[in-house]
Amino acid sequence: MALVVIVAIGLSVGPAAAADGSVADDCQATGAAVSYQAYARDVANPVAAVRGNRSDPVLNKVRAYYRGIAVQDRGWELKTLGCAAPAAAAQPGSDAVKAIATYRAGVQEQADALVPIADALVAAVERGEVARAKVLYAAARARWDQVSPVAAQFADLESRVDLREVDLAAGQDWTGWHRVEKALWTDGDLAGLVPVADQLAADVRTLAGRVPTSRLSVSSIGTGAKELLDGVVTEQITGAAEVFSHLDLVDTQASLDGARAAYMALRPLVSDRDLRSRLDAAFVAASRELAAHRARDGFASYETVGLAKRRELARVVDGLGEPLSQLTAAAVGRT
Amino acid sequence: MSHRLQLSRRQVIASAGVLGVAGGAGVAGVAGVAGTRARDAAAESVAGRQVEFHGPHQAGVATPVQGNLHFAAYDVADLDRAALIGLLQDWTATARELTASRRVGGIDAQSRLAPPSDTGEALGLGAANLTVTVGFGPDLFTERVGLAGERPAALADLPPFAGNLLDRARCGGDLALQVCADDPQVALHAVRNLTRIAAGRAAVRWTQLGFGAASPTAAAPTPRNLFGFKDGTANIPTDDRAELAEHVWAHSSDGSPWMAGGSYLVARRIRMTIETWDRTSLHDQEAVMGRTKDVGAPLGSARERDTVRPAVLPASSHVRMAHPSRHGGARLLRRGFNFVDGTDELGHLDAGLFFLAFQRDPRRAFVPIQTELASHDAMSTYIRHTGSSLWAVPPGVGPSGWWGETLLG
Repeated sequence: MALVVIVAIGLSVGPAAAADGSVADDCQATGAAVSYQAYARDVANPVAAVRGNRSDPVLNKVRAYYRGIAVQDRGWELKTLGCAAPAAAAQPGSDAVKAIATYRAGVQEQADALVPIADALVAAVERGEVARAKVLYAAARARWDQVSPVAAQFADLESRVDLREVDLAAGQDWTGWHRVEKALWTDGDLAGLVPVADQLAADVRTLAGRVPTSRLSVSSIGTGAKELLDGVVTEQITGAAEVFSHLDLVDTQASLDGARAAYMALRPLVSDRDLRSRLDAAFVAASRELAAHRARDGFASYETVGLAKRRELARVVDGLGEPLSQLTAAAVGRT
Repeated sequence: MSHRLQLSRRQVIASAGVLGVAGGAGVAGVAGVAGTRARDAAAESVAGRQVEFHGPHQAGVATPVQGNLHFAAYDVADLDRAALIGLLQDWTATARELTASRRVGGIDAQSRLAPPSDTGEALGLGAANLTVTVGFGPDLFTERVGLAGERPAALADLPPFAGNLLDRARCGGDLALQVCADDPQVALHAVRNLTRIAAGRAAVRWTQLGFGAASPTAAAPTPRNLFGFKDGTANIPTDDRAELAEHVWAHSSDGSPWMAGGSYLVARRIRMTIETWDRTSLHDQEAVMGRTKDVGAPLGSARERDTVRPAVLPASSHVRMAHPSRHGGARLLRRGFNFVDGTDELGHLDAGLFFLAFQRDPRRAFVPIQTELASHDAMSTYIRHTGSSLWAVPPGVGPSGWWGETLLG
């Protein structure tokens, strides 16, 4: 079922996109530019705020996920820089199919993981558990941006799920993540929020169900990654993404994870070694800069991040955004 | 606008000699400057509004001052020497294209799935006398890039001066691009594309836009600063080779042979307290300046270019204080621009002079002059230095050279 509706510009990829089999040189060059000795960081745990309930299975899952982010980051560096998996020469067409399938599987995993978090959020809202609901909100946001490029295909879902207050037209009904965010972080009155949370959980479930038939191509995956970085630059590092919770850095991590998933899926299609090496280094640089903001309970509140640090973030995301804007063309090849 | 016309005509003639431009093209170039932007396709091929990029000195120093400035200071990322060289090579190649009004990245058909390599806003505007001039800040000379021992003695940190109100966000930087053009959009285009190319390697620290060419050229009437006075009548003319060699260009015997043919740039953002100045009587304004407002003549003289006799001017007047005779004959090549950054939070103009001065050694030119001015110049009441930076401007390059080659090559 997963591959039925592939619209693959990438299927016409020419021989230039075939794996070049010289990954070792590539890695050597990258390794010289970045050393990851100083990279080991404390494992982030965003649920320290509710560290009481160790038997709560949902919260335990959330904990495990956040612990995983740090491990995942390092694993990715090792894999890319240590040249663990040189791509075998393969048929161009099947490379594109494989890239799309890889990406889709990653999005599916994130979307599926969102479902129980959203359900738990509904339950927490119903029971008036503000602290727990906040943690679940953060956990959900940590995954949302990874699936948002696919969610963007479905106008009905997107307009209900991910509008910020400033995005609303006059008289427009406000639902979704940020409506929940505002209630949790400002008035804390959750009674009126139950139907909103219910609808949100239903929409998340619907999205997870639509991932298998969503329209994905090499081009749309590359463009989705570029747009995730756009969101980082214009909304997240400006602090406009999470204006009540100030979880902007959680969103940033999710966006980088989503962009990185897209890049890793498409990377075998990119024959431009220089671009690969720039992107590898830029992802590492961005990850590191963000890692500096990890706190015991996930990430520092963006309110506490001063202008100088915000500028550093801007520099690394601009440094990633520029080469990432070349990914689509490089992965598709000349058309 | 008449001085612009003269200026460009002079340059057209000069360029025609070098580049062999046909007369017809030169006329089109003059029309382009004198009128509004020439948007016809022909404008793009007109060489008459181009400044030669190559030569022993960088363009943009002893080049007749253009109408607009877009100055950008950058911090470099954690680069090694090879990466710094790569950036400077990329910048040089791109600046070479830009000043010749060619598209960034060439005109090869490119993938429609990639962003355009040239951002496009200068297409059809011609070169507009664009110059791009690079400078190296003191902090570039570190162990990291193997340059710790190469910092020129002349690039010594500026001392604090009285009246400094420096905003750190408008000071310093590792690399600078002084971009000047007769069209602000052409200047922006250069900065924008050069910044984009540097992404991940260098990032903008601060920028300053300017206009009005607040510096004179031999052929043009002296422009006016925002005090309403002619400013820089006694500046070094950009075609006075002897004075330039004596006061502006660094020599290999000065201590840093790699800087031979280069210069040192002091950039100061000087905010004027416009509102209080405008409430100052004409008598007092002229006494502060040491010149008459309308004609620009030294007080006591009739014409602008009458010889300045410092002794007869008011004791603390600007012209008297800045006169070379007080500073052992030290002179600067000034290339300043007026600036207006809107209004401040109190509703007052945030405006003044972005002072750019090129010299052979700031320790013997800007520093002693400014030390004197900061303490005794009557104009100090009406100005605040809000930004400061110092740059080693390396020599020019040949057709296959790159900026900094004499230092890093």
